[in-house]
Amino acid sequence: MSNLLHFSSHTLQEIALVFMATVYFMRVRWFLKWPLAKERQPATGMGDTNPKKGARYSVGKIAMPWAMESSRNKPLMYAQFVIFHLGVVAAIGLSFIIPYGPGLLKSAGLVSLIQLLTGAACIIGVFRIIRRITNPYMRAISSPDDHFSLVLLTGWFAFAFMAAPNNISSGEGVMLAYFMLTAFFLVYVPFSKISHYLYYPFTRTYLGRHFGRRGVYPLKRTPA
Amino acid sequence: MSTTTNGRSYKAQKVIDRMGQKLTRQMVGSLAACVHCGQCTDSCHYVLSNPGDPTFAPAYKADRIRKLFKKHYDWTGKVFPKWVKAGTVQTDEDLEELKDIVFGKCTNCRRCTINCPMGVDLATFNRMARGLLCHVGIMPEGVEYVAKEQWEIGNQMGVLKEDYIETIEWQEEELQDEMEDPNARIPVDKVNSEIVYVINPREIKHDPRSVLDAAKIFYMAGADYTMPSEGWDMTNFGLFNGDDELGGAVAGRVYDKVEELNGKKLVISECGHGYRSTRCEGPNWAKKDIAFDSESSVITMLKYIKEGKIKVDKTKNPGSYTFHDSCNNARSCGLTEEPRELLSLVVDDFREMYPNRAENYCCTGGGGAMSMAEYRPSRLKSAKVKADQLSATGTKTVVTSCHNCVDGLTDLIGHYKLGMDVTQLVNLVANALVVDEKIEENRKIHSAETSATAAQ
Amino acid sequence: MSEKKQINNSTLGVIKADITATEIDAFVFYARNDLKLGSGFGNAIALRGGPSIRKELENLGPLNVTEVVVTTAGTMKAKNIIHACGPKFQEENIEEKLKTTIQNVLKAAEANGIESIAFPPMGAGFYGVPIDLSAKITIDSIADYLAKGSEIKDVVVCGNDTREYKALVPKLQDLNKKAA
Repeated sequence: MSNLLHFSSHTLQEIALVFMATVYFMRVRWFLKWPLAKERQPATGMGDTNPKKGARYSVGKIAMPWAMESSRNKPLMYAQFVIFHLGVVAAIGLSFIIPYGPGLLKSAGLVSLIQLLTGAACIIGVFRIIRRITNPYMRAISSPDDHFSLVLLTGWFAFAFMAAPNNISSGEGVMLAYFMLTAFFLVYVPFSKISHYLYYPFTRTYLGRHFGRRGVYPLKRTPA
Repeated sequence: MSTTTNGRSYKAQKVIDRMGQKLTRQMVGSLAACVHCGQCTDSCHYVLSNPGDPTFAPAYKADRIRKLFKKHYDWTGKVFPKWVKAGTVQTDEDLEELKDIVFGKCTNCRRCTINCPMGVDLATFNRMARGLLCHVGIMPEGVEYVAKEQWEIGNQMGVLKEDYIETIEWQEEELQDEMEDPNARIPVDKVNSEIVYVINPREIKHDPRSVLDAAKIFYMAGADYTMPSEGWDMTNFGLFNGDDELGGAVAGRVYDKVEELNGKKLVISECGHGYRSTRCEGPNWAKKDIAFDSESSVITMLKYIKEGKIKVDKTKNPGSYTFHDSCNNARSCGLTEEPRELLSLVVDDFREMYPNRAENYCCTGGGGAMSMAEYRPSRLKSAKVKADQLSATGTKTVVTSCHNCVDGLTDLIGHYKLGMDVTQLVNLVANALVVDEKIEENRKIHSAETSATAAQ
Repeated sequence: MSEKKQINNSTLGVIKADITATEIDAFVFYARNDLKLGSGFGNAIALRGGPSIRKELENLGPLNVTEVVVTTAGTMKAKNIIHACGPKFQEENIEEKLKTTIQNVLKAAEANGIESIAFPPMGAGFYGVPIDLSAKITIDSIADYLAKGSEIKDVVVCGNDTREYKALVPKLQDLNKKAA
């Protein structure tokens, strides 16, 4: 392994991680400074729910595609969402496994799993890029950050797919590109929409508490 | 148009400054967290009824407000404005444009909210944006008209106190005639009552039958209740125009009157936004913790039947019925099961519409839309999906627990020539009341009294 | 509900009442600059006062901010209405404009021989002046005017509801502290 690859896979990643953590810390602190709206109303609804139950349901809704019409009516979109995010987990995991636990990649099963997830995520990324450009609704709501983040992720998946076997016998180019991209990613993410997961627990908890208190969450419905 | 030192109009600067005062952490989360995934798009009745027009997409509309937040309050937007589509308002014309979006293209129904994977609550910050514009005097003429009525007359239809009292007295006479009981009363300002009953001014101005129907139900149940002479309007235009001060003042008038009368429970007649405003949002806006109980009249009526205080005969309401959930009742207050239970007790043929409950489509006249005449053509065009939904039930009558929905649905039913009627639960319950025995009893008492008087 | 204070030969009080149903020489209507009555108190004036008021207004105005005109009150309990075009919706120099509007109302009242007059908390409510600020400016400006000596005998400020009334009372009580 060259010094450059070692630096890219270790020191550069660590610096980028510290940077990301610092920005995230500042971001959360900024967010928590905004005043929390207080609910004074008496609880409403059938009495079979409460803010805690509502919050649990709200946070868990991501894993309940049947609970939200927008997911229920578009199962393919939901499947894409799941695979895409599993691809993210796999690609992130790989960036830790290669420098700190390369032995794990001796398992052909693990390598195949990472490649399956990142490969599928990459293909979905391409679909999503096409959708964002060709669908007039998606085009209208997209910002440069939306486009760039998607292209960046899709490219990153491709390099993660290629880097998964951790084999530099035919050159270090792929590995270098993967780690450089990962480092760039870590620095860029806190400023982009990709950092949405930072807000997810907050937004979903607040909404869940609100709807739980009001007897709305968990949703009741009579299916057609 | 006066301008500030940075070339921005005075009003536009005021809007930006006030946004910082009105933002809560919940709203900031909603403004910061959107990933533009587009999952909300198909949840909006404006989108579904206007295919091909992306300017109706909830995320698109939200971004007209979000861009201000990003530019002025979120540092990513301050550093890389174009990259994240941050932007500002510079002129009064920009504010007018924003007005047409926040008032004219969204009914704050919250259907996108429950369909957003991230938990973005567009309706809440859309309401805030409405409030920012109203604060500098930019609002649809109808909103201006109604808000001023409610601030100054005390109800949003400008019903004067003498007209309110006169209408109640008129309905009291009707009650006496129908029940053949000259002692039947609709009490006003009776202290220490179990129930203080508050209504929508539409009931006084356009639908006094609802007051009579409620009075019949209370009469048959032997309820200890009163209507207040002031603070009787449970509707609240503050919910629609985003003015928390108006919201607090109006709700406060109701709460103050209940306390003054030493009422035990506040019962709110059927109105989605009124119920939400008086029971749920009012204490937040008025910054007041309420010491008495409150409930929807739907729950009160249901209790009366379950407790045997009133008897109903569902054969008195022949025909087929469907139920429309008001957005404010269902999506913001969880009032979905009780109306169905009550409806099934007073009609024989009840058929669900789909989607229903918290997933129901807005009547398309919500969020104050019925008062904004300039957007009526767009509103009715956007009601196509609702019309299709109603039509698919194959029923003759749509029942709802909201006066605003009654008007919104009636308008679209006429526009799309659906030939359906719209009614409320109070009307069906009153119609189904078994009153013959009581009237017979009243007749006997009355004739005994008449004989006794004649004997003297 | 009411509170009162003596200032020279005049009294300044605070009551909770519907200003358009008050028995008084004149009440102040916070008017639009085109003098159209519109909704709210304008609606109450139209309904309780009859068409003559609107007819009178047709020949008056438009008004600039701070200007006032006086009309009769038709069939209302009051004899006159002072239509005062105060500042609206966070416009610039709102406090100064409010003070000038109030002074102009009182001058117009004196010029028309009006001896008792009812004010709303000027600009509060629909026009967006915060109630505490409005209450302070309304009470202080009237008190300052009366302190210089006036032919107006009674001035009351009408809170439309408990919230407004409760904001007005401490401002009236503050006058005693100032005097002390």
